[in-house]
Amino acid sequence: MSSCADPDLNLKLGGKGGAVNLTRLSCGALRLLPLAVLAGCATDVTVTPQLAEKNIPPCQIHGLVRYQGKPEYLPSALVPDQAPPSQIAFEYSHAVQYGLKETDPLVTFVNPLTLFGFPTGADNLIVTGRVDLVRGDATIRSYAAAAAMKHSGNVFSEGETFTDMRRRGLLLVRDNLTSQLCKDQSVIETLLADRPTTAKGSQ
Amino acid sequence: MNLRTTALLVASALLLSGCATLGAQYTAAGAAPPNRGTVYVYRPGAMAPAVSPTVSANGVPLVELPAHGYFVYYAAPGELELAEHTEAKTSVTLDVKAGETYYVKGTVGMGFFVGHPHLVLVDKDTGEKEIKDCKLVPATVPTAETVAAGPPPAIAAKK
Repeated sequence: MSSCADPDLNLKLGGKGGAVNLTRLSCGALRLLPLAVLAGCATDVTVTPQLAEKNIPPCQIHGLVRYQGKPEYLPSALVPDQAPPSQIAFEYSHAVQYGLKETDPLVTFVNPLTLFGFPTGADNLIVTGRVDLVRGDATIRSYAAAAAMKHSGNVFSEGETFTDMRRRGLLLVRDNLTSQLCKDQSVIETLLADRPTTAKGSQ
Repeated sequence: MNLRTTALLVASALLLSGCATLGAQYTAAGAAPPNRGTVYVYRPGAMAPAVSPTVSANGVPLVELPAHGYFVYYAAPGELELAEHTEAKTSVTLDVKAGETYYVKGTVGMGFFVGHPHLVLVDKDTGEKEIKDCKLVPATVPTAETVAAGPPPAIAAKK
């Protein structure tokens, strides 16, 4: 049995100008095959807005929080307080939009590269999250974030499922909103204290 | 039995294996029970007719979804993960709200040995248009209470 590391199996072709080592070429191709297969599994992720400040210290902002989803997706900066002194409430909502683009089955079937991991389709997902500071019926300030994700599947693997992508996207949006809220903590606390402020809504 | 007859029988069996018996043509379901959302799961198109993956809800098997089939599931409000398995797994999670209607489209794409299933949540217009060509899967769909009770012990043990 031979292996790619076996030097005795090297076959050389070529003229005076040089030699082509066929065994090394095929071994190199074999080593690259898993990379080609796995290349379809990686997920591209883009989170907006991109924050200039990377290391914003964590914070806690206490207030009335209106949110009906899973607690783990709530920005950690928001700490629900059942009887807050302020009349301002934080309303958090998120939405997920799915997109599936499949290559025509006939094209996939006749494409010889399919067996080398050529993508057979792409999953797209956009997660958006929004925190509104609401006084009565009026929204006085808003923060928003979005995560766009895309990955390709092939005949060997489909990679991340929509469920996995959704969860990851919601956590990225949560963390982005947490950073935005903490960056603006002093402004928000001024609003919560009902003190006059010149702050205007962002995002 | 000669070789020719055997080959014909095998070919017929392979062809017919994908022909699941389906029920009535699509008609919109009635109003959902109180505090439930309506989820239509459908599979348009005739790709991979021999593959009928079982759709599960939060890990609890619901029904097999053949080509051109659909079924209705009345879900409790909250997160609902619908999944299918062949040699690959697909799953999509919905935020179900009571009184709302959702359309989840199933397809089967090319796989190495078996077709890869895909489930995706589509908008109402697309769902209403595409489901019209589908027929009801004649099976009893477990209720939201059954799903809430969790998967059967044999399935739970595998996880």
